Amino acid sequence: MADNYQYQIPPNVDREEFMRTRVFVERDQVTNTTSNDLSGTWNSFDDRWDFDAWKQQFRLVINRMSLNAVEFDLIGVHASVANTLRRILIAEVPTMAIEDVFIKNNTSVMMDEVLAHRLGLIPLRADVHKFGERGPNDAPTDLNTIVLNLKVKCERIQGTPKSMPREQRLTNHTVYSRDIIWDPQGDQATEHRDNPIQPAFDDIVITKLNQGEELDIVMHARKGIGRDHAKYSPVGTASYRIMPEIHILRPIVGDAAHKFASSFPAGVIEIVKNARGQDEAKVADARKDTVSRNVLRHSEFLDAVTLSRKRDHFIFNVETVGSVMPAPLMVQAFDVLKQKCLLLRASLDNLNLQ
Amino acid sequence: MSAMDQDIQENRISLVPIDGEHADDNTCCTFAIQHEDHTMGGILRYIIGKNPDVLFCGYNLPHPAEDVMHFRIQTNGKITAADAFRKGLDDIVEMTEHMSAEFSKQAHGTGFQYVPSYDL
Repeated sequence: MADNYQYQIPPNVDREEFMRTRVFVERDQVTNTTSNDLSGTWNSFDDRWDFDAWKQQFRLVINRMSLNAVEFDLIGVHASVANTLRRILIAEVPTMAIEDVFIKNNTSVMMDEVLAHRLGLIPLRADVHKFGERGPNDAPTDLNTIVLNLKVKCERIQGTPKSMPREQRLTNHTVYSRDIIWDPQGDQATEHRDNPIQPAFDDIVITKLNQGEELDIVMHARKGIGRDHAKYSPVGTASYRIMPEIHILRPIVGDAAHKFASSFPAGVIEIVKNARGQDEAKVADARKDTVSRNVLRHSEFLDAVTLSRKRDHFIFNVETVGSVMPAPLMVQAFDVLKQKCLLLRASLDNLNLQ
Repeated sequence: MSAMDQDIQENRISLVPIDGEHADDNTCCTFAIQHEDHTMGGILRYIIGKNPDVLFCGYNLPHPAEDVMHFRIQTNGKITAADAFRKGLDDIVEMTEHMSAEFSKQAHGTGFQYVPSYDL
């Protein structure tokens, strides 16, 4: 193991800009991670907040979107902005979830509280904007509560032999989320006519029943945020990674090029023929790199490559739980951040300082 | 639930008296903000720190059992600490509105691949 390993800033880049804008990924550690953005840190660079200058270099690029997830790039923001957005997605975007479970009859093997816990975790598809918050002392109204019913009895289908498996012998052997029926209260039937309230997925297994067992449950769903209980979180998870970069410092040719390419995940490094007809390694797509630093295990490449990450380029991956589609969810997340700031502004004004 | 209670929403900031600090010195201030944590603390620290008239800004959460964040701002005298705070909040709102507009614009555009589902 070479002990004279030294992180080399690539020679063809501006040193101060590299130090200001990159995280150094070294063989045994990751350095240059601390925040250096406070105004006045850099001699040659004016760091003060300038919205127009920021707006010029800010980019948001959506990469892929599906029914349940979105992958997008946030370029030109600080890590604290990306982190705040991530935290809001996980914990502060409101959704509806079952909060009160009134069990009229439960003769199944599953205990009441376990069943109630499971029901709370079922994601509900409901337009959150049409509902208000319900405090602990507020009465349930059609504007703050959704009433759902679950009434299922497991019975024997006449004439089926005992040798058949239970699923075929009994009705309602498995209780699915599709068995939860919305009971519209007050104006809810007309308000939600276009988007009827129901669990986000039909096939979530709630519990299993045997012959003669039944469930008769009334549930009240409320608006809440992930901070209070994880059942309200609209995302399976929301995470980001920081854009990796690979700088090749000297030509890597021949067999070494193939070994170099195999040290990275597939698609990161490509082999091209150089002017002299040799195989040479070139960076194809650094985005696919998982930054395992595997290449730095090989002593022959320690001086050949510099790994870094671009501090202001975040690759977000947001996977929703089913209650909200990803595009409206992101818009809501930005809105939550804006509302938090406006509320703090109001609080500050109430303080009556000069 | 109490975090969403409308009654206390607009009275969430109070001042923390620090020993040795003059009561009428409005260039240094520690704000105690209820029901906030790193979510707002991080972004506020960044934006307020970008203000060249702010000499010091930082936040901490004094105790995990209390839902309170302390945010301290010290300025060079040209503006008051409260003004720096206000400007920071306005800057965040401006930035967020732009990001949101950009996202909506992109989401309605065709620059990306829409698939029914994909492996993450």
